[in-house]
Amino acid sequence: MAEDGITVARAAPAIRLNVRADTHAAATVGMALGVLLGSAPCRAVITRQRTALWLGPDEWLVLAPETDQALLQQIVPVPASIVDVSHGLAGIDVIGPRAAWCINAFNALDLDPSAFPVTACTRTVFGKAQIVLWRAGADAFRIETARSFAPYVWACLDEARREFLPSPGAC
Amino acid sequence: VLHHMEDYRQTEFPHLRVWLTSTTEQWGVIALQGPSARAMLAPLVQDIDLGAMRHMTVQSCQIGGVAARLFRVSFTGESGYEINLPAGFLQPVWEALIEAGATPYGTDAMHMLRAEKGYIIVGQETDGTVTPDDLGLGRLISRGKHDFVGKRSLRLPDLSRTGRRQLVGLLTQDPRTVLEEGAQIVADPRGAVPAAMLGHVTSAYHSATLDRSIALALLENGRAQQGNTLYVPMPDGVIPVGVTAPMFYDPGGERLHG
Repeated sequence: MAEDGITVARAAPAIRLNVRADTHAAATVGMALGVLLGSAPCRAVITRQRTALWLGPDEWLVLAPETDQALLQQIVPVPASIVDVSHGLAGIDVIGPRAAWCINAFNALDLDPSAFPVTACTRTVFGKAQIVLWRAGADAFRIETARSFAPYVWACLDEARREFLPSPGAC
Repeated sequence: VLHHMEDYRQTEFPHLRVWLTSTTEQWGVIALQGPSARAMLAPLVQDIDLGAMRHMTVQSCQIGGVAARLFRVSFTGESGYEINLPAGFLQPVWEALIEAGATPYGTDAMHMLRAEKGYIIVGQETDGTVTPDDLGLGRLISRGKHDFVGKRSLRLPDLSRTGRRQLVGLLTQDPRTVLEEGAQIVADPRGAVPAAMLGHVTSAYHSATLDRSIALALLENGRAQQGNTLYVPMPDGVIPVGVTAPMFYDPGGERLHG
């Protein structure tokens, strides 16, 4: 979907890990995984091509390219839970100057850059679906949602972006 | 279930270093069931010997080149497998099995098949009052564990007494008559109304395999009543039924384990 000021696209297949670890163990777990598990609330940290989204004091969603299979083989030396949810979630990229407006059609967060700057991420709701929302760039948002909710989220985004379709006969 | 477990983790077992993550959406599942299941699946499985895999076991393996979990389990009474794959890799395996001759079956067929075998559906054969022992599953409950959720309840006098309503099979004298689910069972159809109701029908179907009707029921002291004739009064007449074991198909399990 690409219209005036808004592109909605299915994200490329990715490796996704749900990582749970005590705050004090996060550095060790992160080192073993080769990704920095940040402690700043609701902020993403990118280590080379691996992104760790802070979802809670003991929870991160790690995203990496599908080719990064090494990420799935890491052994972690402290108690932690690292669960492969690569296929459990589906990613949707919402990109363009109208992206925030489009998301706000189904989500009430303040997405002004002063409140939700680049690197901000959070678990939230979109319509009736639970999503993880991450601002990857000024006009680039990533939505991660449960695989079976993706068609619903997609349909909501499609409805929202129709606001920007040129109306028939307007020219 | 996830929220229930999270609740327990936080309130009852905060000392455990345990985290919970739902993988419901991560895994796609194909239930491949029937006498040909093994032969059909074998060409797709790279690294394990299906013949050596026993009923109620699980193995990690490669299916269609993808890391999979393979369960030898059955909710149909036939020998079969449940193939777990990351959801995005499921479709090619599904298509390969269809290509090999598998037929998709829906929940109605599954309900029928599991009833022939006497496999319960929680919420259909059971409600909140039915214990594992009522279902003949008492042996699955640990006697050794010092605690588990529900252990205290199972010791309550009414839940541990004998003669409770127990799972049985019912066979109508006329094999073409299919009982109504929810219908009540009485001992004497000509007795004074209201009659003492001994139990009720929980599942009833016409079985094509057996060429007759079958039913599952919860019946007072049911296990001791096998062989007895009881009655199901309906608006248009009284239906005599024989009480049987709650299993109508392959009671020895030869097909299941074959």
